[in-house]
Amino acid sequence: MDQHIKEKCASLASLDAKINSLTSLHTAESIQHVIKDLDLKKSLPLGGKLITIKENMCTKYWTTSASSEILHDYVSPFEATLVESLEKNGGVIIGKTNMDEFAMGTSTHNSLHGRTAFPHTDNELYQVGGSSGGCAASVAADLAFASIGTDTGGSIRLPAAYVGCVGFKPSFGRISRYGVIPFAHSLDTVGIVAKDVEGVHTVFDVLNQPDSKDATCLTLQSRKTIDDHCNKYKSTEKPVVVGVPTNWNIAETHPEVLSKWNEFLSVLKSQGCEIREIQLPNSLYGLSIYSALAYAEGVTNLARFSNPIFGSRLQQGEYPDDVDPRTHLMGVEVQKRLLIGAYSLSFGKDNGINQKAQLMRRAVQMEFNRSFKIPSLQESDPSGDVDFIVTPSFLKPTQPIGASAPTDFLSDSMLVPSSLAGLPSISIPFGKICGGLPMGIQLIAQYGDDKSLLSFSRRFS
Amino acid sequence: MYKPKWLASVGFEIHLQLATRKKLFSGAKIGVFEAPNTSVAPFDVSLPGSMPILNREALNLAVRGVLALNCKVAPVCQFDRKHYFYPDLPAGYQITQQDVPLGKDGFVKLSKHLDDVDDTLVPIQHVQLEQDTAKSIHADSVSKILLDFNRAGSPLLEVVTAPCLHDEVTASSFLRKIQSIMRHARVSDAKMETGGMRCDVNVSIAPIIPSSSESSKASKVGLELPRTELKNLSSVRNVVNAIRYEVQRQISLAEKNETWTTETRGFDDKNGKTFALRDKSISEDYLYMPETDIPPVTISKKYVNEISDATGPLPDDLFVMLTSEPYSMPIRDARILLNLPYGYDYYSTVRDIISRQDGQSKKVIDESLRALPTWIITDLVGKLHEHEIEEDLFYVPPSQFADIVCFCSARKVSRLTAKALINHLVVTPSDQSIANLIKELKLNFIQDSNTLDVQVGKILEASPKQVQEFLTGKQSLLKYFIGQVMRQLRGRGDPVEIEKLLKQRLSETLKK
Repeated sequence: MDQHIKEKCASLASLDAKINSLTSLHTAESIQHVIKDLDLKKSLPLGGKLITIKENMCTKYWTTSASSEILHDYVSPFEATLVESLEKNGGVIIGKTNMDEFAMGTSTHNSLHGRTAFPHTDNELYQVGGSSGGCAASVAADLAFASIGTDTGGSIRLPAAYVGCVGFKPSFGRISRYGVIPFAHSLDTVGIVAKDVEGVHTVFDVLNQPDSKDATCLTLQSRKTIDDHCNKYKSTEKPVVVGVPTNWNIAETHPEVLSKWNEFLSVLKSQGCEIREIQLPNSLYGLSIYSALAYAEGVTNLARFSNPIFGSRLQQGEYPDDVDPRTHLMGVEVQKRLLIGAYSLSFGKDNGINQKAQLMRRAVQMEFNRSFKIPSLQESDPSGDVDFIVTPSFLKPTQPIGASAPTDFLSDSMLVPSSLAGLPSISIPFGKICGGLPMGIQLIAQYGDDKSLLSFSRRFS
Repeated sequence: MYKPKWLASVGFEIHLQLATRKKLFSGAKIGVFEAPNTSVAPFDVSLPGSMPILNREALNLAVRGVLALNCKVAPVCQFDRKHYFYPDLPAGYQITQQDVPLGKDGFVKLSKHLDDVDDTLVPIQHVQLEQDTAKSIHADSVSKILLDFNRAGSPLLEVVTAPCLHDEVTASSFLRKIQSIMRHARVSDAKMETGGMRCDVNVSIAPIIPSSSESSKASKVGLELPRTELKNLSSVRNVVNAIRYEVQRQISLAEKNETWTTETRGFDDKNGKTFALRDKSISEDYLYMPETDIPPVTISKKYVNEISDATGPLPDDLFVMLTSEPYSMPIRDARILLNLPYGYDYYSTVRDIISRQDGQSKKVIDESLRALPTWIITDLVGKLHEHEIEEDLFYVPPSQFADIVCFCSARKVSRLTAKALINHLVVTPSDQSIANLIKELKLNFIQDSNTLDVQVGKILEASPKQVQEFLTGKQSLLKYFIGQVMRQLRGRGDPVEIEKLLKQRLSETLKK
């Protein structure tokens, strides 16, 4: 096993040359120290499995830059809990992956580490989406068994769908965020990309643990309560009920995506599932709600970077004027989002933008609760009879590097609603469309029902 | 010329450092007088990826503080982020409580007997739990700011009043009462000199419009003029002086018909004047948002009762207790004792030791307990002041103090010797027992009649003039003779015995 890993690391750079998914990586030499005790760990759940992690996860070994110039040489004195868990369970972290700066974006393209791409049909390079584009690409290119990323408004599921892998965003609070650089802390969720659901499940079992260092990470007691609650509504006799939000089929949906959605529903029917049409109208406002809330949270989480301890290029006199370091060292997309976020919190107060967005967020949660069979533990909303909700992962598949379309801003529209409600959701590959591009299908379950979602998804991937 | 009278209004924003072992969210220990930047956790300097975990001890102390100020406790403890940019705030936001303060609508009782002002209830608007900032020191030579993060993230209790006080004397009593309450409740040492308590004061004036009609005598208060906020005041005395100066300054401006804007001012204690700090006329937008990384904590009635039950007695209750049976302390003594920092603590510790002394008769113990308050508030405090040591009663260990008081009541040493022992312990602290110290310093009480008689004889021989005067009726000279003998004996003589021997000799001389 050791030899295989060393060989892999020796070839990482060349395998990644066109894709550029890795920001830091081990060489055959540097990996030796990491795997010297590997024999002892062979029987552990991740024994010897190669893992990559997103560039916003703190490690003591490499820099953690969140793909931003302002952190280009930042080495964290502590490591993320998830890094510890992976290593303790035999996982071998071979590198860190490229992302959109501070997880703000859907293209995995920044001035510090460049652009990540992935070849499809005829080896042409295609967009990987974002912000966990490097995660998805590193798995799709067989550089790693699995990759750990973050999903705030679709950032794991979209790239996974674009490259034809499985991307899983668990329920908010299942995996510890300690040591993960935050973008929107009420939405950020650590998630997993792998080739198939079994791979995702293996890693999820390792990371799905309480953490006393993260107060938003579900405690042991909460986990038991939630699991018991979900189990109460399971039955092996009754058929699985699948909900389809037909109103999410907006005009911009690509016809081949629509037909794949229908094809998947036929597969479900042939397996004995009941298909139920549901209405989720408030979710259509998802992107607006998300912009108002997530960007506001981005403002607060990035406020610390005007602190003199960051931006070492500024200290070294590279930018001698009095301007805020963030103006020089943060990209345009980040600056744009910070301005929008600050607006919604200050002048937007008169229009109550933030407040309205919070109420709408609750409305989205409520309409999900009204659909699912398992009632919500937190709110006394009425419930429905659906086990899982099925939608496409996107309105249209990926496109070549450099291409763009007016509807690009809608890329996350299918994924944002379940982020707003903190629900577990997974994107699984389902064939090819548009002349050989991966198709992704999303499944969503009620809060806390992660295990069932993974078991059910396993049937198809 | 019509000169209006003015009503001054004073309000406070008091920050108290909670006496916890660790900081509010970061887990770092709270160090005292440590080298700079030696007690800093990742969260204190906002390293990316660090997260807050609420320190339960801080919540317990904060609830205790809220109850001690007679506030209603909120049903939930939740926090908000308050955003502004300043070098001493690494995150770019402070975690505080804006939406739901921990306590509100409380009051502080001030009374004539205990606090030396007219009986009044000072309303407390709200109390909140929040993070402290780093300490910034402006290096004088260059335009540099030095930052010490030892303090960053420490828990503070912010106590806010409306501008409901109208003179600096009441304001001063109020501040001292807050200090006393917080010390007794073990919430904070509230010492301004070491940063345990910080005060921002709002000062404004408004004209008093005398009633024009003859029937009604009530005068009205006109519109409040622009408010000044006074910051960086380092002691209660400076607060008082700053308020007095600022009120006068505003009145003189107003009487010259000059206007001014809301501003922040500091106080120079050397020249006794306030000076402008920064223009506060633009109110900052703090972009408040909930701190969702700390899930709200339910505060149950049961929990509040537990905290309340575990809180020790507060000054107002202690005052009633000490001035009633069985303590029966004079009002003046009780007031002074309770206003000394940890005065009641010291008193009750020494009192316990005395009560449990075996080998002393009940008479001696009772006498010692009765005399104890005076020994503390007059002799101990006096010696500490005399030698310019800060008012820390525990400087003289309670066990040693207890022995001194008992020995004196038991007449093993004279009062003068007892005072000398206290003086000695203040100047040269020692952990020797009092018995040993007496031997070492040769301060044994001389009660032996023969030894004393010899001295008495010597003094009488050396003062023939005074003896004559005494024999012709100047009885007061008896004290003079006793004093002289005591001087000879360096205060170690038993004055009762000396008096007896003097009278004996003098009456013999009279007979001659």
